[in-house]
Amino acid sequence: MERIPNRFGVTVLLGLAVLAPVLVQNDYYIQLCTEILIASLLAISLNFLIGYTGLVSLGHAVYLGVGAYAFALLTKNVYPSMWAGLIVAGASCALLAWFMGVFCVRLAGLYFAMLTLAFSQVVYTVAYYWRDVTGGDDGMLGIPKPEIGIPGAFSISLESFTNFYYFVLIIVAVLIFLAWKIANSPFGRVLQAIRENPERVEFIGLPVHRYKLFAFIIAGTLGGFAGGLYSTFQGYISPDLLYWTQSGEIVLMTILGGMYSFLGPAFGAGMLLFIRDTVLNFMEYWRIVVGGILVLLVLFLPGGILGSFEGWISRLSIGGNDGDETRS
Amino acid sequence: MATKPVLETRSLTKSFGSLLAVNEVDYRVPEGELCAVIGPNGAGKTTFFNLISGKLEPTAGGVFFEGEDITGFPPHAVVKKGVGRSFQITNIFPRLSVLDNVRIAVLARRGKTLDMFSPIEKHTEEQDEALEILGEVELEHKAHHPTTELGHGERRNLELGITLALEPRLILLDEPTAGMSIEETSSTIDLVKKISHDKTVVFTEHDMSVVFSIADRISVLHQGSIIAEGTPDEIRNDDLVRLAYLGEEV
Ligand SMILES: Nc1ncnc2c1ncn2[C@@H]1O[C@H](COP(=O)(O)OP(=O)(O)OP(=O)(O)O)[C@@H](O)[C@H]1O
Ligand SMILES: [Mg+2]
Repeated sequence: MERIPNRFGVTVLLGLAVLAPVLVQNDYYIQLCTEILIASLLAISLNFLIGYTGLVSLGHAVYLGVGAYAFALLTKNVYPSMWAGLIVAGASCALLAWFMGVFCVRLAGLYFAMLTLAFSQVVYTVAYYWRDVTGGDDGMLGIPKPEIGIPGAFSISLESFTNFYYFVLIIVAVLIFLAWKIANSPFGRVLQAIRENPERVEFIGLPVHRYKLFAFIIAGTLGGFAGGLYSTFQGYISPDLLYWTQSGEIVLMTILGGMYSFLGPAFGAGMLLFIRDTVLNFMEYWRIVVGGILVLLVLFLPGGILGSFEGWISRLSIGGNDGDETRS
Repeated sequence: MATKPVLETRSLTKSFGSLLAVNEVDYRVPEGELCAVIGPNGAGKTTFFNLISGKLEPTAGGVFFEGEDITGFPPHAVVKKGVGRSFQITNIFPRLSVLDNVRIAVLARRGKTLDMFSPIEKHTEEQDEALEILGEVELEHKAHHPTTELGHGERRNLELGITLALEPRLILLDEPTAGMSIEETSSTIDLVKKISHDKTVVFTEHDMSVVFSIADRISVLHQGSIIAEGTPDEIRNDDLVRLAYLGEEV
């Protein structure tokens, strides 16, 4: 069953997110929290395809990368505006997803996965060799954090880690809320139906390809926003963002947290980045730890960490339920 | 006899390699009738339904619904025209709730499935209609359960409910009672009879006593061809049919 976060859980989570900079009191960790927020958006966007529509994409890093390059190119070469940068990041990924989606949604299973992988590798190669525009394997440096506000009236600098954290929190919260709305709409339920049984969806009179394409574009657009945020967050980018291992990492986040839970992928993103940062301090091979956890998870908690946790909660509280346990 | 057919196939043919699963079938369904297609295992009944409903493209021949050529239409377009079908092998949405299985079909019929921003529960008209349909197939009390908790007969009923939710003018039921117990079969057959009061229904069924008691017309498919067609009485007395298929049964 789909697990939708309950009000209490969301309030706690949001409260923690708002207080995080006060609680950690440390620039390094504020930055880690910022990165986790961005990765959460990225993982939730991918989960539109994996968990909701049942399409395992192995090329989701393409949106992280393209969104990041779009933001960088616009703000460095054309006009240094935060909003314009983010909108261009989202829009370019929407277009790219539309284009790739037309081909990808005709396929299913492994073929779909392979085609998304292939597309992302093509884009990686372009970014790698098109030195004049992308800087090739040197990447791009000095991506700005333009201030926000109303010209002439007021402006807020995002140079401080805390300000930037709150800016990212607001953008990510709004976009995740939007994704949540979509996930619980009739359209979102159709995507779940496609995951369960695409043939039968055709036979209730809906063109499955078109719905898959919409899901693909939504996922790509949200991913593009994450890419734009990442670009300004890091201040430098390289083609590595587009490499297939990066796509694999986003898939890992989704599975770690639980793909049948709306916030599961965000939880997975937080875990993966936290493990990376703590383990990296004493050994280079942090991926071994992640790999080990993943093996244990797949064996013992196939619903992912947050997914399984929500499962227990809803089983415990089934008595006080109004009969809607199928969606909580 | 003179009413124009709701469904018509002309020389409809499907071959799988050298196997002619459906062979030049000319078939007409008059409006409002309850028509049975019978035949032994492998006769081509399911393939025939697949051709009409757009799941398979015919090798040759055509399909006409209410006079319009719908040959080669994709399944969703055939549904939009007004043809609904159920499946011999239960074809539902396993990890959605029983309610959602039907609700999504109601939303689809009413063109609400591109709504991305209002919660699905806010569509109360569609929800009520879905619950009403679940009542018809005796699943209302299980509305909020996952389909995994349903027994075989209940899953068959849900299969039927999804199809009814589409309010098709022509409804194709591929062995609606497959694998059901005797009691389940009789309540499903009652339902099929009820549906046929205001809809045109074509169904397949292996239980001959059921077929002969409820069908207005029977068509006998044998190795992909229709070898006999008529009222239950005419079929019962047809020598060819007795020889090819019915044997001792009638
Ligand atoms: N997709 C397919 N590819 C190849 N052969 C097929 C395919 N579908 C059906 N057939 C063959 O076509 C013939 C007709 O099959 P069909 O399923 O239409 O029979 P049926 O009358 O529905 O049988 P049953 O009473 O068992 O449901 C069979 O010989 C079957 O093996
Ligand atoms: Mg069959």
